[in-house]
Amino acid sequence: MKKKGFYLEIIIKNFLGFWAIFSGLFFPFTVFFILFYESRLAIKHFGIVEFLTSSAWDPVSETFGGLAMIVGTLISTFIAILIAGPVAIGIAIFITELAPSWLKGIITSAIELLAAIPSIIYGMWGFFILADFMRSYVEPFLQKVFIPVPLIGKFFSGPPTGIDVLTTSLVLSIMIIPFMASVVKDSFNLVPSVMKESAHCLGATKWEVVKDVVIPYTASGIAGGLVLSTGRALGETMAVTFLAGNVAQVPTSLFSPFTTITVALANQFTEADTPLYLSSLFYLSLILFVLSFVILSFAKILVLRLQKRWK
Amino acid sequence: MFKRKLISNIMLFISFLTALYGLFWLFWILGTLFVNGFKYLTLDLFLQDPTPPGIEGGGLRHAFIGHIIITSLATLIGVPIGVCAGIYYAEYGKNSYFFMALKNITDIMVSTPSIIMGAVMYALMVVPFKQFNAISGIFALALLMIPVISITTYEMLILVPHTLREAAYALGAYKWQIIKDITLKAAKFGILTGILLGVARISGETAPLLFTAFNNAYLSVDLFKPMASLTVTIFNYVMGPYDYWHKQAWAAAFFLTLLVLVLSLFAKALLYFGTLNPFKWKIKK
Amino acid sequence: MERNVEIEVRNLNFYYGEKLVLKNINLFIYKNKVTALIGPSGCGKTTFLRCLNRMHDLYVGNRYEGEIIFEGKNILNKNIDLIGLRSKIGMVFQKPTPFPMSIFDNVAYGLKLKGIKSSELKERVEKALIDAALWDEVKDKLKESAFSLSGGQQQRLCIARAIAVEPKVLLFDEPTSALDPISTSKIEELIVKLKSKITIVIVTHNMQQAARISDYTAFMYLGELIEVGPTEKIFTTPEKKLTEDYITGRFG
Repeated sequence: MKKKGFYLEIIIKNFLGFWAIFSGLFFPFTVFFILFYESRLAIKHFGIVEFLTSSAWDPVSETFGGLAMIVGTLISTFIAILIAGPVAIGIAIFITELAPSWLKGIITSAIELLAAIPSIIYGMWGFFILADFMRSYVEPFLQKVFIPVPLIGKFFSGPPTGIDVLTTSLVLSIMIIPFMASVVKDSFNLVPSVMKESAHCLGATKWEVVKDVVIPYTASGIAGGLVLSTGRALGETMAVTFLAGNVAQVPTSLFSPFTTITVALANQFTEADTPLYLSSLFYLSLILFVLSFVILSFAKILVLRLQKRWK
Repeated sequence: MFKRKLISNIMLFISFLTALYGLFWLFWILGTLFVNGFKYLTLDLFLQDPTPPGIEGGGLRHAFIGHIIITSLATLIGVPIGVCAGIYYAEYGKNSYFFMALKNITDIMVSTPSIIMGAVMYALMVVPFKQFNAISGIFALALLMIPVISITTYEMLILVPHTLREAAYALGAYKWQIIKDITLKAAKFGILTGILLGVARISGETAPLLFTAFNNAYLSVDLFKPMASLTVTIFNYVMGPYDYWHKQAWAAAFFLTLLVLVLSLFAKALLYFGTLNPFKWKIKK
Repeated sequence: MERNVEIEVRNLNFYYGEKLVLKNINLFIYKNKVTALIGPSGCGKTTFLRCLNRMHDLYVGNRYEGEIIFEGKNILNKNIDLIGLRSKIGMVFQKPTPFPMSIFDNVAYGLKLKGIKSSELKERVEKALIDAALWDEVKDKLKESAFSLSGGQQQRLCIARAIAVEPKVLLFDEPTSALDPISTSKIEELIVKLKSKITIVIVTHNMQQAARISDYTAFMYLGELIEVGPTEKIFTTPEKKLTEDYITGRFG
């Protein structure tokens, strides 16, 4: 019995360890390698700088440049975070500081419900319902208000179709809110009550405790959550595909149809009929993978710093 | 003094508004989904295969069955691997910089764009076979599951107090015996919840299947041919020109969302009630 | 003196990483007697206790020097079978640690590890529960979860679990510090009863407890063994001033 247990220990440890190495090392490395390998034709053809700075995307003449997709990805994500960030923090403040205990559970569950909805539902709803609403009411209104304004006005130009940067970013922001609110809420809960109590004892108002104690304490966590949400928004496909317009041009206005890397992949993968076309799509995938990996790593470092400081 | 109190109340009111803002979207989205989906939900949707494009009628039986096949096989592959990796990270790897780094990389892979798995499996399994096939889609989803499951397993296992393990060591047990008899048992509800949430997540995935399992207008259980899934079918129907396609898409979307929400709720309830009973230590959500 | 030595500790030094935590401990633990380890917080008594069953091996960065002789062998040797050692030198912890299983399965766990089966299993479980003074309270609910027991009962369950494998030595690490006075006295009674079959080493921060139940007492301070001897002598006529100061409560 003793001997058998001893050998079993070694076998089991190695078996489990194999899968650990598979998940954490082999898997991500293989993904990178395959994307890189499939992109090599496009990399050879277009190089790095040219591909990143050219927005020409023409399957007929076989010129491909990723600028439109990359800019589209970055802009939609940026605007989404801009909207979602403050909202998520507001929700977290509401849940942790304001809501009575019965309401806390309800709002938290509501947020989790939002998070569980599959992304294609967001896309579909956006396409059938929100796009129309934006086209009919919101966008004309915004145009009336902002076009006369110097400088900002030109970002509101173009026919308001509802299938554009604004609608896409809006839906993206709604998708990010639950995730970010959870991260911020969890960070807020890490603050020891003694810290908050000492501030209250000095006569601080609830808002002042949040502003001066909770938020600085959890700044790393909030930043990490922001960056993490950015990473997730970058890779969002289904919500964006319905609402972007799939036009390979760098958007010049909030109402321009545009494209993102994920939109291009979703729509064109099955249409790529030449090796260079396919390779260029893989090149885009590679860029997306590297971009999201770097941003997510950065988020992880930020969050780990918060945990280390206050453990 | 009054001014400070006023500012505090204004800011807190604003935070209340943000909560309302979130609820607003939730109700609008779920509301339209329920209304439209329910309106077009028929028994035929589940029992019939699609009609030729343009001809009204038919159902999505092929997509429901395909979705079940793809999701369950992906779970069968992804869960064991994920659990094994999670156990190793928690029980053997905690003292090693190398393995904790691997764990962090796995954590990053959780949030990686899902369409990338589709692209990878396209290169690995679609191109060599020269046709779209269900198996590549299954593996794409499994690859998505593995990081998710391993991280949740890891996090549940490290919550088990050390003294429990020490007491077993003090009786003369091997590490694998302790993991099998004590640690896994103590964390079983948490791990199960993680698995259910993982299944809920991949049930709602579309992108990885777009160019792997692709789609099929007919009922097919052949793993080496394209297979219809609920999500891709919804995608195609929404983009398509036919009104009855749109209606069927709403119904299917409603059903899918209901399924995912019920699964998630069940998973959370499991965690809550499972840990409520015997185990005295608090599980932070 | 040599006749009834269960464990002999020779020149034991213990390192926590680079820090020397136990300094040159020399001690005899006598068969079928209760030896108590007392001293202020941080003096190393728990650290020393955990050397006796090599619990420190579970964590990285620990190092032993010196010898601990048990059954004619130095158990600090790298080649010692730890699994076997731990079934001969058992341990009961500060907080009750019932496994997530039924009462019966908890007590049976150590036996199952050794391969003991069915009918012998039932007999030994019952015997252990009787010896731990828990049998009458649980005999009708052996299949119930261990968590249905009170704190004191859970601790006696852990004791039953530890004695089921019939160890030669049982190490107690402040076993009653988390319990109420009634449970505490029940467990103290139990320990005194057990010593006729098992050698006992108990760490306690409660001096009165040491005075009540132990035959020998060892006083430790800052990682060193200051004085050891028969309990009555230590508490009435200690040889070292430091011991006397601790006993009389001049420092805690």
